[in-house]
Amino acid sequence: MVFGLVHLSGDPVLLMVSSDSPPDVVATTRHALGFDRPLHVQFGDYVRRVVRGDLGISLRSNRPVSALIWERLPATVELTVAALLIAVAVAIPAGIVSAVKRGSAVDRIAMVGAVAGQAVPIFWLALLLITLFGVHLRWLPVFGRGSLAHLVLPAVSLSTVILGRLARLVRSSMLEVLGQDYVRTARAKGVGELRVLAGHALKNAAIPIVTLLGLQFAQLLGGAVVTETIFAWPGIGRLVVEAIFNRDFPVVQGVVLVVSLIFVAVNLLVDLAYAALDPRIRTEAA
Amino acid sequence: MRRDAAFWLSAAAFAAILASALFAERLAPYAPNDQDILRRLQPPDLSAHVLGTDEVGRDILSRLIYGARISLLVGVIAVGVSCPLGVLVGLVAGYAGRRVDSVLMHITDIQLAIPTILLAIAVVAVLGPGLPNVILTLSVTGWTIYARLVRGETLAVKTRDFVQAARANGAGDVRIMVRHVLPNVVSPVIVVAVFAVANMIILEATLSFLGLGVEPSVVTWGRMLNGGRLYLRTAWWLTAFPGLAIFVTVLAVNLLGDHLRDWLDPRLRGSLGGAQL
Amino acid sequence: MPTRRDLFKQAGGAAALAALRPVAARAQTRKPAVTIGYPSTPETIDPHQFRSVLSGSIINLMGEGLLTRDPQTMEIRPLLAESVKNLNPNTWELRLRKGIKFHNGEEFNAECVKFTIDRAIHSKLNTLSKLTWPPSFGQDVVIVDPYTVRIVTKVPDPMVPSRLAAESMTMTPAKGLADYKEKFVTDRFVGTGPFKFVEHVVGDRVVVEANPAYWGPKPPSARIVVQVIPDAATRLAALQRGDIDIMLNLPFPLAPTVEADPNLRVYSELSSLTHGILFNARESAPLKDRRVRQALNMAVDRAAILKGLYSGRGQFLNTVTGRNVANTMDPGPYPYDPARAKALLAEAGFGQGFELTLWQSIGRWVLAEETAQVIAGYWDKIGVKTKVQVLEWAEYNKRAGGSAHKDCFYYAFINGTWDASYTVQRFKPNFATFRYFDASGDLLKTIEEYERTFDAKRRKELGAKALTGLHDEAVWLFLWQLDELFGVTRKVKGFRMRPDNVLHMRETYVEA
Repeated sequence: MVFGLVHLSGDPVLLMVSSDSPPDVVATTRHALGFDRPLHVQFGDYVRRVVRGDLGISLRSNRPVSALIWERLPATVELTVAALLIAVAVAIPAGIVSAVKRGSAVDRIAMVGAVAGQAVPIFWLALLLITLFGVHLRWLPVFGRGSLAHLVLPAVSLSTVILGRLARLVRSSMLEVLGQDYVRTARAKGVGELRVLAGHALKNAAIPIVTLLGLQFAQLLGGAVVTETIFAWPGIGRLVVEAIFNRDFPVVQGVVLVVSLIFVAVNLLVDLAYAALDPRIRTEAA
Repeated sequence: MRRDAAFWLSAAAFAAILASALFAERLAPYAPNDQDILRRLQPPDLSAHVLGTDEVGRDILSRLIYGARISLLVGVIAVGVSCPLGVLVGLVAGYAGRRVDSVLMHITDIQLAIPTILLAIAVVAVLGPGLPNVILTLSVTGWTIYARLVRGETLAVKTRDFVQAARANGAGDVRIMVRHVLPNVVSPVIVVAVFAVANMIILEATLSFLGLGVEPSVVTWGRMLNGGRLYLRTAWWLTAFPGLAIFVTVLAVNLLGDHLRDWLDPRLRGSLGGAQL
Repeated sequence: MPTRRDLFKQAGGAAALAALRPVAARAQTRKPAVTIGYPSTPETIDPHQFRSVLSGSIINLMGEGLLTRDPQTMEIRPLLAESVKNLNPNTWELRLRKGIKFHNGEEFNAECVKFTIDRAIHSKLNTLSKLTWPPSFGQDVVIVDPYTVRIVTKVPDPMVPSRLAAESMTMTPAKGLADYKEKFVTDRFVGTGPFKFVEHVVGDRVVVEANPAYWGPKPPSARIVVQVIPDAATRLAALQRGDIDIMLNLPFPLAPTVEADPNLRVYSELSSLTHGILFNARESAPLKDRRVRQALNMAVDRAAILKGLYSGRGQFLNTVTGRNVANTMDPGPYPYDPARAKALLAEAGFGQGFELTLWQSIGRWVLAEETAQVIAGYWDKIGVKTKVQVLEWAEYNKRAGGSAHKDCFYYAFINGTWDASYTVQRFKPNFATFRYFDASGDLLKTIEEYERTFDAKRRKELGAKALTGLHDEAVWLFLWQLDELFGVTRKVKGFRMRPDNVLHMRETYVEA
């Protein structure tokens, strides 16, 4: 499976079409780096090295790719986890309330908020937060990574990307479940409303929610580029975008490989969560 | 089925946006790229430029009206291509299970791991810049989310009694997938697809911003947003109006999507419950 | 040991001496560190690998070359060499300064000069020097004695001193970097400069600290921190908060915000980048005609654009080299005259107009897309239907250097040797890159003679003749040099941008 992943993620066609070397790279360098060899030879060589755990050397900074990724990955994970936690903490209660009070003012406001979160470009919100909390109130730092305070603004900005979608999804899944027999039965039996919602309904509505969370986690790991750029957050999104624009292939390939491995792990967890949520799935997904 | 004021309001808003897209030439007071750099950054003014002018002195209202065309096109086509594709992959993966599932989901993971910008560069390098290629990039990036969502739901739905019953009655796999599984997994897809329209509009802007999008003479809301970026503090109207346009569009699509879901989803429709089939 | 001050006296640099004086006093009222907000990660800390002027400015803090340039006048001055003498067209003799030590304690001598030039030009490494001083010149370093070297070139090269004064010719220790002759250094910097390397966190910051054993005047700051903050609005917020003292690349639209803040000011300096639109006169049929190229110059109201888009912060360019550069001259503008432009088009047989593609890159130059749009609008008005196409930078630049853009494209050139010959030579038909217009006849002869001439007065004449010729040929749509804007706190002193855009930060400090 590792080989399959490498083969597909390091797809030579895809990566090599973008391999127009910058004009200043002289032929000798090209030769020294081995880029003048046939593609399949380069690829075979790359696979052999990756299997040994060697991701190569960055063309631009001349540092090992694995070191570059290892330095940056914790920052990205930190930001992603924080943003997801904020999103979950806000979106799940908001989604449940909107579902229960369907059509009410609360529901409408939540929807407008959710849509606004999606329609407002992240740089706009980020700059607003920076100006307000960083420049005027001076409560929070505006760039870089370090203390918990450094994390607040980027995590809040990033969470808005997920928040709206998540809240709407919670709402729609809850709506479906609330109409079903066992919820009615539970209610009829006099089970408390909170227990009905938390115990029965949410659990049964959880599959799309868990899927979306898994997806978002994975996506943010590879792509919180705008947030990382605005807040000068030293994460992997900036690393890979800079590498793409500099045509620093070893870095691009390395990041794609590492991120796809993380995806596999995350999705395995998501599958396990399915099984835990709905025992009938267990036999199939195993 | 009950259709309230919100529905009619959103339908009207959507119709208005659609009309701007279709009849931009008749509606817009100026040509979208008519510029007068000596009258740049004019604030909104009812007598001349109703919504003001941008950083090179173009009329913002006219650009909004023209921008509806490409932004809607990009948003709707990209979602229109990626959503059915993803649903199909997810349905097959979830329903078939085992080998098929594992292969399809690995492809999905790899697609997810490839940065959009890398894909965009590859597309531009091979096919050149331009609108169709932007839509292609966005569609190729977009399908994975539906695939994963539908697959998860399908795994759950296919174990339910009504699916087993249909199978016992001799229904074929395709029939079961389309008639019994699909209606029961469609609800989260609609929620995500509606939001994806906004995402695509903004993503198009990001690609254009990086020189990987449509040519500069083509107006899009996303491009307007990006153009006004550095003027957020000094000229709010450059970003506020295109932002509002995206907001209204997504809100309208959202409300329409809600109705669509109510209509498609058997359990919410109340009459033809899936379990009774 | 002669001090650096003596050196400047010898060189007759009274102005430079005056510039140095205020630095000596008031050491106790300074902040311990100067923090500078950079827009992008320095690509390297290897003295010979860097490409960007921003990285070169950091190298310039820690390293030194044989010669240097005055931060204000750009005159060439001795630095690690005491003197430079031209023995014959192919041979230059340099006497080295004695008693100078690298940061690793190694002594600077003739071996190091030989090692440096071999590494920067004759190694396998992909260095900047190879581009500015190609190995085909056959540079060879002959060691006469430990403190005297001769640089012998196969080709007569009047530009040797200016090549030696470039940041890309920073001296490196022969023993300390012996293992790195064919390898770039990523984890240290060993130079002779006033600052020593502390750390480089890729994508985040570079830190240097004062070198207590420095041979020249002690720097006024104990530390300099280069902090990478890619987003301009965030960089400005950091400046307003006092997290950074100097902000690079202040975009024009944000300048009013800086001016409105009582603690901040805008520092601006004319950039050496020369902006223009290069016409492909070799392949695009209408653009082969000189009258068409002249017409396109007359069709654009540059004054309106400079005022409208750039708040008037810049100077017009009327030929292919900028102001301040050695041997430059200004042949005067093409008038803004759409009527005459139309007449010229008709004369050339294009009275009906024609279609043109104008290429532009995104994210490289400020307001680039808008500028291209406006210019296209002016050309449209004389009947030249212009389509603007944009491309991401790496691909764009590859096409630009590879002479592949049709019909015309926007570009901004630096001047690597600070002499008009740097841009003028590009119009020789045998030049490897950016071939869009081939000089011929008298113009070509002038350019070729200019390249070989050592006599200063004759060089000036030839330079003026070549530049006038290129103006008359209208090889570009000549645009402008823009101001480079910095946001700085009012407490920042001794910070300046050299006319060639290299930042002079050795004498920078922040009052407490």
